[in-house]
Amino acid sequence: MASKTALRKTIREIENALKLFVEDHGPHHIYVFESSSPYLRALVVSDMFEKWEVATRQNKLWDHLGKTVTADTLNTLWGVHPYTWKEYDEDFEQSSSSPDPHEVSDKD
Amino acid sequence: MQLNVKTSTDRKTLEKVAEERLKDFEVLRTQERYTAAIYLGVYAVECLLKARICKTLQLEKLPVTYRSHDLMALLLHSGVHQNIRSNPEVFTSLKKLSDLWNPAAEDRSVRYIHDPKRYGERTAREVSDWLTHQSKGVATWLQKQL
Repeated sequence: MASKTALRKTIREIENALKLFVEDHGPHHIYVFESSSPYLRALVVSDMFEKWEVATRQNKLWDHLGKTVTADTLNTLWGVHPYTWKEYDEDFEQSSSSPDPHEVSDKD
Repeated sequence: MQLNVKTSTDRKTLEKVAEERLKDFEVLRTQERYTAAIYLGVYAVECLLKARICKTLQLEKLPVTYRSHDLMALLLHSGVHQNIRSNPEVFTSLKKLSDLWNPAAEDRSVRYIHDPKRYGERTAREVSDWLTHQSKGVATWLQKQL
């Protein structure tokens, strides 16, 4: 059970770091989920991404994470997927009531 | 699951395809066909990971079970997912490319984007770095692992 506790701690660390990134820019949603266990991915929804191209979003997110989470946590986090609210609604809200990245990852 | 069935694609072909797709990436980028450029550039990484799986498994042909587009899953089976951690810049580049190739919602993958202007020059330039930069390029690093 120690590993589950460690996983929860890592998820909380990532959530806090991402929250720090978006919290001053209006409503946001952060969801950290297991990808190929024990590796994690994160979905971040915020309109702060509106002004940035895809590459800029990734660069800024990973720069921030590199300064705010430990190296071990960074190694565990295998992907961050930034969305504006409009993109999120287009991709998730129309097909289901909530995102299910586990299901999406199965389709890859 | 067909664990012992191979595709008809061999390791050398995967390596050569990757090399050619990286050249196509540069040509299309120059022609401002950014979406297609990025598509082919990231596809080169998929091919290199599959070639590396062949090397790790000491197989000439790629097993059918690895017919996947999931870059991080391919990394996990490539035998180099621990090594890449000692190159954090390369690892981060791969994670960034993975967001283009395997986003949280499949429809947003560059594989299914038909708009040639969906991605701009800036993103294409960054992707070029993530692919072929001397120290942080994923393709550059993977080619050394083959």
